[in-house]
Amino acid sequence: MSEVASGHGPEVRTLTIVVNGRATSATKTQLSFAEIVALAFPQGTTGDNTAYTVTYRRGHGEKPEGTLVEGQMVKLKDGMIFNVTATDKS
Amino acid sequence: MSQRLISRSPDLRRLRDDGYAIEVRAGFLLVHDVPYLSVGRVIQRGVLVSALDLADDATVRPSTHVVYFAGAHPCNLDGSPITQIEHGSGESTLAPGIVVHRSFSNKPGAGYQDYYEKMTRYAAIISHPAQAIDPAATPRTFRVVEADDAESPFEYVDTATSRAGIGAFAESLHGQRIAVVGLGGTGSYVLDLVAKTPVEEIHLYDRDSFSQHNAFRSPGAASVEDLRRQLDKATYFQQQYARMKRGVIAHSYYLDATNVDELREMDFVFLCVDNGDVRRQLVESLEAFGVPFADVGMGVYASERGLGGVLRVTSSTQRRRAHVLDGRRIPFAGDDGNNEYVRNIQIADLNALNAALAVLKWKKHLGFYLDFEKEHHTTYTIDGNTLTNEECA
Repeated sequence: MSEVASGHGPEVRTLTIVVNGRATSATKTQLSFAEIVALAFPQGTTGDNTAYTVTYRRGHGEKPEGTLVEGQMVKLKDGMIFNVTATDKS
Repeated sequence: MSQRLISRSPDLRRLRDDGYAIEVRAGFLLVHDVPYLSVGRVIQRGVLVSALDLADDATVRPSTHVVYFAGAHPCNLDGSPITQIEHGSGESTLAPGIVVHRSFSNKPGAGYQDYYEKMTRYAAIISHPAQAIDPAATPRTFRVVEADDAESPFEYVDTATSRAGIGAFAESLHGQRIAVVGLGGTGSYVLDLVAKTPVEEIHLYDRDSFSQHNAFRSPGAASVEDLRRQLDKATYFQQQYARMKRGVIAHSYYLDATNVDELREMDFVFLCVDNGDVRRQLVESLEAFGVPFADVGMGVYASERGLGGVLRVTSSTQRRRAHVLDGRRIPFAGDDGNNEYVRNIQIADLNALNAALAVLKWKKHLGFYLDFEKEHHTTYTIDGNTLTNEECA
């Protein structure tokens, strides 16, 4: 895994985040809603991404837990935990 | 139910037969027209009120010796207040129309055997001084108090609410017309919780049949005979809940553009459907009608270390609606869209929690529960036991 930061800021180390129960490496300082959905479903999705509910916790201090919607970005922190599901079953 | 309750309870029958003006309302026993001396030695009449402990629509031994009183402080013959029975004072609404001003405490060594002993004891204590002045000042008036049976939202009295003394809060739930659209796991638990509130009507919408797998994520315990009857879910649940709740109405069909107008008259709608296209259509219609609603849904996945996932309750009220139709909070993708890799995992405890979160939101909307956040989008994440509140009004 190369430690290349994609964008601004100082040198970025590789972070481990957990997406839907699986540990995953991340090399960016922040990820978009769509990037997190892609991490959750590496086999790809066919429909529109707004079908997904994304929750996170163990994030950065000012807002360590919450949800994301399409178009939003979130700052990453080592050990941060994401869940990505289509919350459409009842 | 109060006439039935009185006829099945020897102690209440005896009170009535002795001429006490008794009434059973909202789980309370009221003894009207009890004379007492107020300050200045004036004869007045007040109402003794006791919570009722019941089993099988008959009284059981009273669990508390305390009684409430609607009236001024009763006095002795010399005009001094009767202090021996003082317990509490301050106006309080026990249930709609039952306002009391103080409570009394007088505990015999063995407690009270029944409501006859309890109510006649208190009636005697406060009415004796009045009777000493005027022998006609008796609580045994033989006045008949009409029952309010026809108005009860339940088949038997809700003593949980009266025992807890929260009737005034429950009043906010009276008269409501509620729809539960979709009676899968979550919808059936929504029904289970709403059926224990005094709402006027609960409309159930589902055409699917109630089959074996449904029994494992619904409240209660369906019998093999229940399954063999192959009823549609709306009818099955209507029959189950009509045993307790009045005003449960089955609609054994799906809602679409041709009949969605039926939701126009609802006070609140629980959307518990699986199909994204149906969900979109119902959300758009409810938004157009201005009817408040809560949309529920869960997404559960299997990981190597157990099942994970998220439960969601997204609501729309007069306070806040914009987050709903912009499509970002409620999943509107069709069944054949991006969901094709996902199995339909649902578990009864998750269905029950999702339903409970939605019903809590509805009760906050009505002012039953304290609500500082006024959130309109809540998630529960399994792996962290985490709740989030967003779209706060």
